[in-house]
Amino acid sequence: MASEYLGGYMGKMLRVDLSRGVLTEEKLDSEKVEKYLGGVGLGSAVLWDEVPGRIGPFDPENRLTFTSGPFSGTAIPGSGTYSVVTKGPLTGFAAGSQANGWFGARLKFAGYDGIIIHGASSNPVYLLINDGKAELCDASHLIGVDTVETQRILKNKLGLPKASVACIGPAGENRVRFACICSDHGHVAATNGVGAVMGSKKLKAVVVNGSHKIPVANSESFSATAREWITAMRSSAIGDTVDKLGTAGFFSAAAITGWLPVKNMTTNIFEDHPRFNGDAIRAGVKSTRKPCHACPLHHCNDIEITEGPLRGLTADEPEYEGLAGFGPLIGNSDPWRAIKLCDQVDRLGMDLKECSFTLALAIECYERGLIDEKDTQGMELTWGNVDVIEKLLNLTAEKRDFGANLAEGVYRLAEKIGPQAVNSAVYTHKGLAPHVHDPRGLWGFLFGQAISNMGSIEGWHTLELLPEPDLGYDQPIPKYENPKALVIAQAKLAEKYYFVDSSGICYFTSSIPISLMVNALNALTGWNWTAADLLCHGRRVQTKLRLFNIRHGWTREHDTLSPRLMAPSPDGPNAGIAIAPVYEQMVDDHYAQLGWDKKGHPLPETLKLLNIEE
Amino acid sequence: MSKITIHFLQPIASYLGFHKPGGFKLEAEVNAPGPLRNAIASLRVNGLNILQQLQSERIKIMVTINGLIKHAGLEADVQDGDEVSILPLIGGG
Repeated sequence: MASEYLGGYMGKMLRVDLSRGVLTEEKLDSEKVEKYLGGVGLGSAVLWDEVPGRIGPFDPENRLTFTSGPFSGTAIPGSGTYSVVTKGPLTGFAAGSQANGWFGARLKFAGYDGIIIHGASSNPVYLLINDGKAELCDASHLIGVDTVETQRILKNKLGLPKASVACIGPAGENRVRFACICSDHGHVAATNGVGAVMGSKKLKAVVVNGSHKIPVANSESFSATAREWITAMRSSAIGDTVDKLGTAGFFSAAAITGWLPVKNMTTNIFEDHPRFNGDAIRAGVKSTRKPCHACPLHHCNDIEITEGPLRGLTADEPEYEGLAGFGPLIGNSDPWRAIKLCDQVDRLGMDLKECSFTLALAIECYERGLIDEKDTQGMELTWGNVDVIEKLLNLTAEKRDFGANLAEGVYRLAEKIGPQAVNSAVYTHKGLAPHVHDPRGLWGFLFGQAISNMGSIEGWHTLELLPEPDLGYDQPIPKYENPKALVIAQAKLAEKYYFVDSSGICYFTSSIPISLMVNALNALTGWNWTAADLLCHGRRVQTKLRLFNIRHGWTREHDTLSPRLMAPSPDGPNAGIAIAPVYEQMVDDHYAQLGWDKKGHPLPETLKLLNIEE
Repeated sequence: MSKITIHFLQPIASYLGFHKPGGFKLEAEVNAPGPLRNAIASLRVNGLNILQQLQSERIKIMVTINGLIKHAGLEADVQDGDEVSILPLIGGG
């Protein structure tokens, strides 16, 4: 590695002390950059350095970082990505969440690689960074305003139509534990309540705008590599489907293979899936392409519904997870109403994963008589009752009536209702909902969420479905047959995808050979990384986050799953299959693979190997 | 001879000239049990040989038989009455 970066970085961070209203520029720490790169890696290093164990998620001294990566804002496709890292209020451990769009690119165009926010303002403010100048501005007029309107109002008021605005909605202001941060209309840093932390600091929005150029060490080589990247990405399995149908193009495939969550996972069968698949959705809407920075895929679109009672409704084109969460998971078989719910949740500023699993649990509890109309203030909380769900979403964002219980997330709601609810809830033991799938038949994917440090998943996709030749897997790993092989594969995937999450690119454009990523990084920065360096970086970030979590009370017991996720699927293609009998051995194998002891603590020799100082 | 049903979902169906939502289904006669490849070897739709198209490098498919993923893909054995789906590879969401 070089001792100083030549390209890919603006060279400075902005530190914002909201308690004192003081903004300071800091030179980007080159040693940290070489070890942690950017994005979630750099954010995790800041978190480790600045947030001791006594600090709670809503303590003013908790840090909230917005970080770009070296690729952000460059010619690499899908490089508008940024990461938000903080101590999350759902788990009480590290939260790391990515949002795509343009914000990550425009943060660098504004002159900074990242923002470190601490303290709490006494009155609502927003942070404006315009071409190297940063200031805090009054945001009183934006209190209670939804995320879409907040973005529109600020861009109009400031006369900056090409700015990116990352903001919270009413849910973040009210510290709903799964409040998110929205930017570039429908791009969301969603997981583990990052928006609630922002709300606790009375920071309504961050606006970035500018025209700074990003330095490139070897322009010719970098441009050539970026073109190769685009070709490789477009021909990948993921890129092809996402380009043609959006992520909803996976909907029917998920239903047929048993990966679709239905009615809080009480069944695995959903016969209406063709109506939700990307081809049916795109046939029923008028689309306007709205690509992320430098992305050639036809993935992100503004849509207008052109059929049925909701004709004329405009929204962001929903992703698979939104359609699944507000469709089959809550017993709703009308895709257009699911789209409307997705839009409502985005506007209120809530994570649709946690929100939909929490609602699904509440509905199941109502249907089974564990709660009744006295608890819900007279609302009939039955499967697919979308009228009631619409009201409940508003109450949740306001933390009012039964919505105040929902605002705590699925794990805390279950504990409040009682043991039968705990047995029915879908969550990881750290206290948050998984991605909107039924992963009980895909153990690699399920395990990746169970042992994740950030609350999301380490190593996004599942090697039970997709090959990963770069990591030595020319064919998918057969399901159920060899749990240890899945554990080893998941660890390798995590190494790759921690790099992706640290480099400022979208998951959907990163399905390319590692060698190409390394070539691009070296041409951009002037470094001399190898594929082994890339994977070592991923392991280092993963281990650093584990150390942070240990400092904040993590134990092996947190690396587990709710009873329902441990139980077998009741029906469908994975009927009778359960991870429970092999789970503890998988955890043992995982720790051994990573050089951690039986308690899940990294061994001294592992820290030395990864060049991590405790 | 035995019969199987094959459902080509989008976007796979579009490579075979069917662009409508839902893709298309067809029935095929096979010497069962035998590999799916044999069942579709001589089938043509819209003037296109299905097997040739599915083997094209640009198309990445996943095969399920009666809902179960078959990593053997086109080499998976089919039986009389099987319902086969040709799906895009799932890549997240």
